[in-house]
Amino acid sequence: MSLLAERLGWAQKGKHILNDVSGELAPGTLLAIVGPNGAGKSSLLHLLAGGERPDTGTVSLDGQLLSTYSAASLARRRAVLTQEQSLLFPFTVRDVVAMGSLLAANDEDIEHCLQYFSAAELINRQYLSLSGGERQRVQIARVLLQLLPSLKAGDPAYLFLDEPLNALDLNHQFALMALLESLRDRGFAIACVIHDLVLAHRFADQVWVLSNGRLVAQGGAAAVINERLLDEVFMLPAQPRKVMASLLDCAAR
Amino acid sequence: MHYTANPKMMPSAITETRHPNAAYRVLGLLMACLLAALMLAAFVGAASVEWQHWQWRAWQNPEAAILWHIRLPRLCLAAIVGAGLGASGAAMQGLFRNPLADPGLLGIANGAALAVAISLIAIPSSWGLLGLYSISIAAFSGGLICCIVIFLFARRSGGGVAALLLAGLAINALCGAAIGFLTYLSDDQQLRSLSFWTMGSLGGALWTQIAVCCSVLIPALLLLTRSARQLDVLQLGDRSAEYLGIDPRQLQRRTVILAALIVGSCVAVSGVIGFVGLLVPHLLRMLIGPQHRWLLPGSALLGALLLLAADTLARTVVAPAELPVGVITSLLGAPYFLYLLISQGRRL
Repeated sequence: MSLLAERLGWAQKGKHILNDVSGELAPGTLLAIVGPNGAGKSSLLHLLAGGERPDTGTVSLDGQLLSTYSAASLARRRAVLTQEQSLLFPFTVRDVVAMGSLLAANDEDIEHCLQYFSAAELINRQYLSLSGGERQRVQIARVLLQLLPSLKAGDPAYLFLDEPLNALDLNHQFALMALLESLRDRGFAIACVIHDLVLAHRFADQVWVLSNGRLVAQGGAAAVINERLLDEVFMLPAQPRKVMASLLDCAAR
Repeated sequence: MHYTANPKMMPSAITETRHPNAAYRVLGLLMACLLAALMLAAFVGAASVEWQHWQWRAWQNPEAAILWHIRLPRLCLAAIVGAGLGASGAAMQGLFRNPLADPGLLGIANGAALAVAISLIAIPSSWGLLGLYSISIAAFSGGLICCIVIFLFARRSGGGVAALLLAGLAINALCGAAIGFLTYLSDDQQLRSLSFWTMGSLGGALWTQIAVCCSVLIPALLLLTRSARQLDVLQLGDRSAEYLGIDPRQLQRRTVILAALIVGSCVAVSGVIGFVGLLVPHLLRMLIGPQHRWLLPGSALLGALLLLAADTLARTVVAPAELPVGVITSLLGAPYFLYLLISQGRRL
């Protein structure tokens, strides 16, 4: 019972984005996907979530190829937060969160999902009048609403988040990570593209490091996120590397 | 999970509560206004109409002929074409995720008019009802081709508003040039018909035209309304919609075809009437919000009302002569379009 990626390869417009990526996402795991810009993190997330099909290799969910699931049945088992920002019409926050429900959503559930980020007071605001961080919190509430039936039924699902910490203030960054932890404790499998190595180190069970489309390291957060990673993958100069190393040290303690 | 939000971040600006009842009320009000406007407009015009002409028995009465054979068909056609243009505008704005999409601005109406012009020259006018349908089919095909071209272009260019409008400009110019070329090939009778289609007019409406137009428009409108919720979700983006179990490509294909059907059947009977599809959904969003299950039927009602009013103005301002109705809608719509461009300028 898990999501299994085997030897994934993916190219776009003749350019190789991902090469030979394999890994497993088991229920009850919080996975952080890290790496420099352009390493293929978002692409990998979309391949794992079934939004794109790999050119080579396979992704299977519970032993069955992901491509054999219907869009509707996948939507009941996994939700995805993308980086898309395309709303131009004056929807209210209630409307936007309700879009996450596959059936008609009731106000109680919408408020419940907004409450995770103390965002319930936004419910009657116009989405377009919100700040970037507030919009991100609303989008996360929408994704939660999609999985609320599985949450209520105690039937763990998969959650994929593409840079969910974008635009969130420190307080809400920690609130989100704590929420993801509590979902993980209920058996959810969570994959999260993340730039903040300190938070990844503090909260993630598993870390995958991508560089130039290849998986260069995978394992427990403490084993993977270290000074060597900062040097070889992120190519951090000595001075900031030292700062980051001491931050990671604090996070570990 | 027990982190609380910073109290400094409490909401400060616009709050808005919208209740489904509000949408029902606006829709009901629009329906009542439309019926009242239909009644009122029947009395206004170059020739006077008396109360007794309304009796069913007066159908054959020559004095009532103006009401039953000229004015009423024209009013009904105005309402139907207005409904079609309003609803197709709403659907296309949803499809392109863009409040500036309009069948006229994007060149879809002109594409339909070009196809009609070609069929007018190629197909003899003596084909009766079949001829009417052949014009509708030509208009539909022309509109569909332009719609697909614009849509593929929008997808390639990443859906920017400016790119979309410029593509529409190019298609409009191309279709305009092609229609101009066809006028050189046409005889006198064909030339008159051609200028009718490019100017846009509701004069000379026939009950058979109305029947043909309705037989396409009503089913297409009902089918569009069925995908209202999916169109809402599509606003999140193609990928997010797909992750919510919707097939965005299938939805977009269906919407393109239905919108082109509606625009085609409108252009077939009335020519190119601009700006109704831009103006109406925009006004309605301010009243009832952007949800398509209200917006689509509401745009049909408000579009009908607007075109009926515009046409009544067109035939009374300079009576007994009349203005092309497209002139009135452009006079209303073009300044509003400019206003929209200025207010959305930062996003272009």
